[in-house]
Amino acid sequence: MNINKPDVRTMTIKYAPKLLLITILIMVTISVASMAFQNTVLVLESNSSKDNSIYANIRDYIRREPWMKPGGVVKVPLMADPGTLNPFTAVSSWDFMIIDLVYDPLVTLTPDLKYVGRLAKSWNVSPDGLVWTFTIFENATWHDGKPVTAEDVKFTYDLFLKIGKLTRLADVVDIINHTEVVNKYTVKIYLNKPFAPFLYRIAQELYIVPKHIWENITEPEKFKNEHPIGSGPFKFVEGKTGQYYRLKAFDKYHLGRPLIDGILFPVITNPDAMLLAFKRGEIDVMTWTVPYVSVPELEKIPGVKIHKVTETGARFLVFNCQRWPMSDKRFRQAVHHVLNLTEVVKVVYQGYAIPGSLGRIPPILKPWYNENLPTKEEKYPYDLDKAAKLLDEMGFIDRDGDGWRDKPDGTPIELVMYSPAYDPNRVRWGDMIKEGLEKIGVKVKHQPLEWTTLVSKIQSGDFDMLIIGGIGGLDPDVLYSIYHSKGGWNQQMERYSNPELDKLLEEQRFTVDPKKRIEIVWKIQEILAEEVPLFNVVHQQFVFAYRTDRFDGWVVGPFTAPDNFFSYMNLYNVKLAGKPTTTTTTATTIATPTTIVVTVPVTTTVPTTATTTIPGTITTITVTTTAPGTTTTVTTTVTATTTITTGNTGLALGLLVVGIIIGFAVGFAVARRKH
Amino acid sequence: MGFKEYMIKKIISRFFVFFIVVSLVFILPRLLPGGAFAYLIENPNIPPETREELIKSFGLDQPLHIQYIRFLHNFFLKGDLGISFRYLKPVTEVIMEALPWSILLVTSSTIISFTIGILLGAYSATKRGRVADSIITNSVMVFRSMPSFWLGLILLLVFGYYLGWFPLYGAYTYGAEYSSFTEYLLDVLYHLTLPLITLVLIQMAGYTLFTRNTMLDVITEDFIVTARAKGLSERKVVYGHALRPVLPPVITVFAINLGFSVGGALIAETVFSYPGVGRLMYEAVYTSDYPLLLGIFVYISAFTLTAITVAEILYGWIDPRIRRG
Repeated sequence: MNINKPDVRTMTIKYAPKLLLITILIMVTISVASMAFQNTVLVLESNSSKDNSIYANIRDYIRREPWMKPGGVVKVPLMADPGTLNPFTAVSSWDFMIIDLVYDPLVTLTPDLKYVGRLAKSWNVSPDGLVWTFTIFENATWHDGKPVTAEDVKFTYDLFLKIGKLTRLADVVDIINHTEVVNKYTVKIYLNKPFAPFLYRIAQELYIVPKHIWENITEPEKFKNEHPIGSGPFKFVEGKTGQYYRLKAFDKYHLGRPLIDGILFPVITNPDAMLLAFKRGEIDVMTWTVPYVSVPELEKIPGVKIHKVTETGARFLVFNCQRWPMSDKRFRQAVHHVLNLTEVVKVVYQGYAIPGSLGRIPPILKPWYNENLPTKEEKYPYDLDKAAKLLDEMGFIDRDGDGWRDKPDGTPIELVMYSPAYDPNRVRWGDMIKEGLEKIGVKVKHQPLEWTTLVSKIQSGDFDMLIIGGIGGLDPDVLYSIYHSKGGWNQQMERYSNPELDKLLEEQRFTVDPKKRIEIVWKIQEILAEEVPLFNVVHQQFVFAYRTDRFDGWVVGPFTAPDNFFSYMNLYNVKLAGKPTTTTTTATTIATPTTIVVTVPVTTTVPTTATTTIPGTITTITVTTTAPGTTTTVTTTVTATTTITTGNTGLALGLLVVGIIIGFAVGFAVARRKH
Repeated sequence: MGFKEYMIKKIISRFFVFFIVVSLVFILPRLLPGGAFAYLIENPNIPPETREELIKSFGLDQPLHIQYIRFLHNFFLKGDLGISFRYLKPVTEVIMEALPWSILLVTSSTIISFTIGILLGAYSATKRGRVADSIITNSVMVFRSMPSFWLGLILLLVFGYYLGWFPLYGAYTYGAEYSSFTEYLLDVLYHLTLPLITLVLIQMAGYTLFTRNTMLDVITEDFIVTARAKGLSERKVVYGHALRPVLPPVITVFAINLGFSVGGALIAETVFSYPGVGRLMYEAVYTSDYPLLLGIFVYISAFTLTAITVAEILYGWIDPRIRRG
């Protein structure tokens, strides 16, 4: 869940949103018997699987050094309240920011895209891919002190079978048949059919809930779960709608207590205010994307780090393969030849994008991306002559001498291309494609549309070409719905059909051995590069930022934003633990700079006075007072003893304004009374 | 017709208005494109099956008239507004958490802008056509015509960020521990300042111009001439004699505004991340949370209608002409 977050967030707001109106995976009902399976037992021990590149040990992802200082509360903004903390029915990324820290799923995907056990110490899958066995950590404990057992895991999966249709995983409920407790710490999950993305779609997504609490809940699908009890690294303390949510480190966490004492999630509904608060150091991380224009300014602030997150999907052009000439792969290849991708990345996206992969999977998504795949500029370089030649070959030529190419029967044709009007970037490269095509004699009408109209075009299939974005995942199974002739997305978008490709897409779904699956996925990409049913233009990158001046140890990944489980497990306090009011005295001499930190007892009444004694050689002294909302800095030259008083001017002024206004009101009332 | 009948008539007619408002608010959001749980469509992690099941589980697949009858039954007979789709909690509870903050922000800003508006209006009426008058009328119009979102952002940027005098978000310092209630109160006032100023600047213009224009009529009347002839000071003439007949209509406007501004603070609350009802309404619209939206409107319309009714009843009591009319 966590891994996908940036993607979800950015797309939810800006890009491909309502596309999902359409549909999603249609479950394949191909007989299991026809599949070829491995004959040996596949053991994917999380502790001993160095041979297999998609598994790792979670201990390697939690760093503990003697010099790491514990303590402190990290501030992480939420842009909206979590609607519910029920891990089954939660939907928004804000819900999961808290749920992912309070609850544990069986496994989780690391920022470098390896599966590690979180509640599961080890797991394996039967050779036929139908039985998954998980063994959980013996020392895992619920926040109320009771031990976590296999019964809890079974209970969670059974509950999911019952209410799963109401959750975000509605499309995979039918995969599970039943569950079975083997012993106190081992549980077996039986599937109806082998399902390679099991870890990605189910084991990683289902948060294990305590049986002793949830079995008493009459309507779990409508349970709000205001005070969640989980087994995760943080305990839930309190939540105030519209104000803040607070978590506290769980001392008995089975993977070790987090170093930080807790996390405070203030609700900041205004993304501009969030960025300002971040710049002033009032929050430690941006949970919303930073506009590209703000990046140079942020980079200048000491202690601020920028991190780019690449989308797992793409911004792409859809060909309606049901219509001529889009049904001809030579036309689709010709369109690839008319767009200069290097220029799109550099000029349109200012470098915040990766040129689109011909095989759809982003080039940095390892191990699924086929490393032998040529890039678009290698296979289909920007070359109008080549494009024109391809069109000539397929008989798409000018027949009436008006300068525009016509249909084979001689009738003129104008292709209609739609793009999302709310994204100027995509409209711009849409124009570039139109210009390129018109240069080689193809008449194109490019029409940017509002969101709802665009969706209705997708639903009705009334388009020649259409620009959209999103649709991705960290598991290659997403290709099934994008390219399989029965895939949910394909049926709504390009309507492309290729029996050879269909067969491979089905095979990868049933092949649980990662090595064999990789081979199939690589082959799929080779076919896609040749057939190009979609033109994947760019994989856009979104900017996130975090501060290292209070806490460091952030863990990020190419698809992972800084606010994630691994960051919060690794963050350590750079300074001493902070109090609401601290006075930091930084004294500088030319020879040796010294920093003295004085923490004044919490007397939030302003003005605060702090007296510090400083070694005699010091010439200047800077006093910084940090009070809720304001920072005041006063610099002065030291003679013998200097007392500097800093006050909270903001508060004073605020009170003054209110005072004046009240004064006016009282004055007015009195004046009237007199009369 | 006696005062009692007048009152009963008023209350009954208000109830019908309320009924119509509630019915409209029940139906209108359901006619919006996208339908219930439309926000789920935008989330690429949610399969459409989930949405269909949710719609069924909240009874939204029923025909509109059945839903409506069910709602009327629950609301008027049981006083139940239903469960918020997004918060999975009774709507009343969700609103009650936000209402105190809204009332604090709205009543204080309305009272302050009302006071300042009347004083400025009266003052500029006496200086009609002079520099002071044009400065006042023009500057209040400038603030009035600014989009509140923009004005709020500018205040946030200048006073919150560059000068650093005021906080950037919230109703108080989240996570802070207060040693006394006074300290908490001061912190709340401190956080209130910027949203308050935004709302005052925007609401002020209405009162100022209304008072000024009404006052210009009054100031030419005979009793003002009499007051001046009595030798009263100009200040007493203006604020004692001329202002009094101006107040009743301004108070009506005040009553109406008070109700409206519960929702009107929507933008300011969103810009300043203030945990009030306006922000809740914004969210309810965005997530098509029908019960919550309906609940908020029930509160706002009840509040507005009560305020107007009280104002009118007071009128009727003070001024017999209105009763008869």
